[in-house]
Amino acid sequence: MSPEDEGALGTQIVLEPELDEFSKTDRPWIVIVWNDPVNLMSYVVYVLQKIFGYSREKATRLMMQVHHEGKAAVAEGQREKAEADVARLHSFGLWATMEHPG
Amino acid sequence: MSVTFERHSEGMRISMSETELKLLLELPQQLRDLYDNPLDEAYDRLFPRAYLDPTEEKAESEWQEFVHPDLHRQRLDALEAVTSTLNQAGPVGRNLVGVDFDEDTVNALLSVLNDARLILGSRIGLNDESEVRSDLDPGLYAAYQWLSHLEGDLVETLLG
Repeated sequence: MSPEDEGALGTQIVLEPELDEFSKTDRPWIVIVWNDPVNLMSYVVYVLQKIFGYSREKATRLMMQVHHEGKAAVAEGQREKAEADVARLHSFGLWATMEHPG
Repeated sequence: MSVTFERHSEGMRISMSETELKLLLELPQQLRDLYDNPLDEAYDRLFPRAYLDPTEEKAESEWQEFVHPDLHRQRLDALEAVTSTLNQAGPVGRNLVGVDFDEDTVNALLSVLNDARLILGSRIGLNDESEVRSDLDPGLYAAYQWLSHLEGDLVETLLG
């Protein structure tokens, strides 16, 4: 932010609480895929590409994160979108959940 | 064991022995029984929760009410598609039968193989990729390994 933009202090004081309120409820839900001992690594890559249209590289990176770290955030969005993503992941047998940060 | 997957312009040709065909045709019935048995321990793995947060219990039950009938229906449809396609298999060579899957039925087959592995994985108590229980049921474990091999080949073929 440039120094000139900080001029309208009065406006900022009024707007900030509203912005906070907005960002709390509007913060996106995170869709998590968890590691499990059964799903094949190649299968997870295939499913992430198919559901989300991710490139092979991105799908592989997310799969490796699931594999090594136990989970990965594979998508985010409003509650309804996250619920639909979780349902699609479950339809392919991936173990997925959704959570709201903060 | 010799199931092979070959891509072609309209889908995939799958060739296998008569024995393998018979084994594959047994999967749908076994899966159907499980899909209709919510009390089975493997059921929760196929229909897991969406929310881990216990304060979202209301959202969870609404989501389940909305989504589970669809997920259940999709799984039953996949069983039906796989069974009717496999039943069209015909001789393609010495001791081999073959059948063509289109794109939808290939994905149905993939879903059937994967669900069967999830259920077997639960039955044999797989809990870590690097560990195998010493009291594993050898028959179930052999079936699990065979299905894993098959699914791996199928996915490799799909990924190209």
